[in-house]
Amino acid sequence: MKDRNPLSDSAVAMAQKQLHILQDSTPGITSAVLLSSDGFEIATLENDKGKASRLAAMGSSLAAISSAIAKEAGISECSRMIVESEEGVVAVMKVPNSSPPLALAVVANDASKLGQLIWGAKNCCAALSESLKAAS
Amino acid sequence: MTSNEFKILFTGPMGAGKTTAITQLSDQVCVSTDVVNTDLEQCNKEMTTAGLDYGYISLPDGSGVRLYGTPGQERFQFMWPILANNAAGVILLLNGEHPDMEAHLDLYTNAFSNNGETPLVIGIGRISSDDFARIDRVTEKLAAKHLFVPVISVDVRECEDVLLLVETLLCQIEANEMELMQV
Amino acid sequence: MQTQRLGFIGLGDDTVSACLSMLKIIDGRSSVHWSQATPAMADVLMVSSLQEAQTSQDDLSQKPCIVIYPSSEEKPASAFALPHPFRVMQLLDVLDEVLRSLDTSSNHAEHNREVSESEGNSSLPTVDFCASLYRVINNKGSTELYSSQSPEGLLLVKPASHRFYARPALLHALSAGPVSFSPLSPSSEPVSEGMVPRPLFELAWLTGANHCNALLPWLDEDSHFKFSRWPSAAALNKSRQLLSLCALMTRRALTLSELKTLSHCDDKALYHFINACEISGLLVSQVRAPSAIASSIQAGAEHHRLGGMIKGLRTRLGLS
Repeated sequence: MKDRNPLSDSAVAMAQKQLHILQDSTPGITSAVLLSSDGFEIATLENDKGKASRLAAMGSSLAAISSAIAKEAGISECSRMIVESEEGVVAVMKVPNSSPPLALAVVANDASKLGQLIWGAKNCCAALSESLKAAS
Repeated sequence: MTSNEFKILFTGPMGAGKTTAITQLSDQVCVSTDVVNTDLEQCNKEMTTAGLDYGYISLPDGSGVRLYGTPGQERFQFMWPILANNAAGVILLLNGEHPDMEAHLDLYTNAFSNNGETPLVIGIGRISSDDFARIDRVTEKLAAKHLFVPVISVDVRECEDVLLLVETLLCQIEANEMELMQV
Repeated sequence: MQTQRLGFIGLGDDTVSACLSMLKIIDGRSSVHWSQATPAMADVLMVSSLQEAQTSQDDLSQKPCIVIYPSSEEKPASAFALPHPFRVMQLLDVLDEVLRSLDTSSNHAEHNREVSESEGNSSLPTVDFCASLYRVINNKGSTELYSSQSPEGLLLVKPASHRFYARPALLHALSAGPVSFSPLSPSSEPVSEGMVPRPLFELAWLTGANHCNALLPWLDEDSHFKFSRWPSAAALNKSRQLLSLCALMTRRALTLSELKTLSHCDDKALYHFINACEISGLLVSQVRAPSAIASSIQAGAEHHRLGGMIKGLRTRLGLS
């Protein structure tokens, strides 16, 4: 894991707190990573650091490719991506108005309900956006 | 691979010029997945590729050549085999000024040459014009690993240099095809 | 002509055969005739690096031993050592050294060799500049600088930094046509102002241009040729024929006639290229090809599965 982080320690601590709130309020979440758009993990619930790194990198690629597809398709900027299977969901959602640009990647098992997950992640992103803005 | 298209992969570390090279060749504006670079220590560039670069060259008979560029940074290595799948050949671009160039050479040749089976060409940028030994040292190092790969000093901002990389790769692909016909 | 006998220990048949073929090629260019003998009857032994320790134990150790080692490995710390695959000039060098150590006639250096790292050049006969350039590039000895005179000016060569120096007038003359150079010899001549550094492969290329009617005299027309590594691309003049040749010759050893067929190069261009690469130390000659060439290779590049695509792409990019 990189030593340096684009956010300050206090900002990272706040972000960590928001991730815990997300996990507590939404059933089925097994992992969450706040990532920079170029794939570095900022804060994570994941104990396995390697896994957190990979999720950050893959989440950023997914977000970048999705933006390109949206642009190609002529639809407005893509703000969230859902990867769904029988066993669970991976959701990647952009944190609005963040600088540097950030996104939230959430992994949930089949205990989660998609609607609840999206709602919880959306709230988390909004809260992150607010608190990071306040911290800077 | 579909019978009427083939793909060429561009790879190499961040800042070596993959996106520039693909843009030189591509008919249309390239698909880019550039994002804000937060790792300015590694490379002092504003943007970096997080997904892939994509370009296309249409050919007179209606078929075409797909150009793919990998993201440069090692944490995106999971993209490499996805993008390398079915590539006819690989162009590896390196930065001659980077202190880790030798390490990059090893990393990327190990990842993409497939033990010498995949046609590969290496372009090294920013080599000092009076460093006559540099390229030879690289080819010697590769030959010691039984990799007989062309190494060319290039500036990917010059279209002619990018075309030379492509022509050299095509010669490599042809030689490989002739070897396969032997088997 | 004096005869010396060479015995082989621990070397495969192919290796022995390659050595004997090379000796046959240079026979007549040397004042010493080499013939094969059993180790017991030989004057000089060629020993595989794996057998060296064993050989030094027994009675044969009184004879000079040339240790043969794979070129990919480090040179062993033996008095005489020769990397395999063999190169003619390296073979000649080491045999020469052995003969000197046996205190035989000093006139055996009559064949096309030029610079003696240890002796200096004053006792050697006049030889071809081309052969001297080959020696300088490939011997990688301790001498840092060599010089040669021509009517158009002084030439300096620094093999370790892969460069030569010449004034613009001489460079111009070199690219315009043959220049008559004295053989290269060790020098302490300073690089004076006005002398321009250029890559050494360029000198090999220009020298090779003066030998484009035939292979260099020490190369065997019947050999199969391949490259030990890719040549400096800059000197390939972006010629597709030469790039194709390189692509083929880094994969397998080919005869001259196969190279002519595959590259569609004319004879002059092919000889020029092969000679330049030999001078630069890139060429590996093999007596026997590792495998038979199937008729498909004669069909040329266009008929493989990607032939159409490649042709179309070349057209599209203006490369054809």
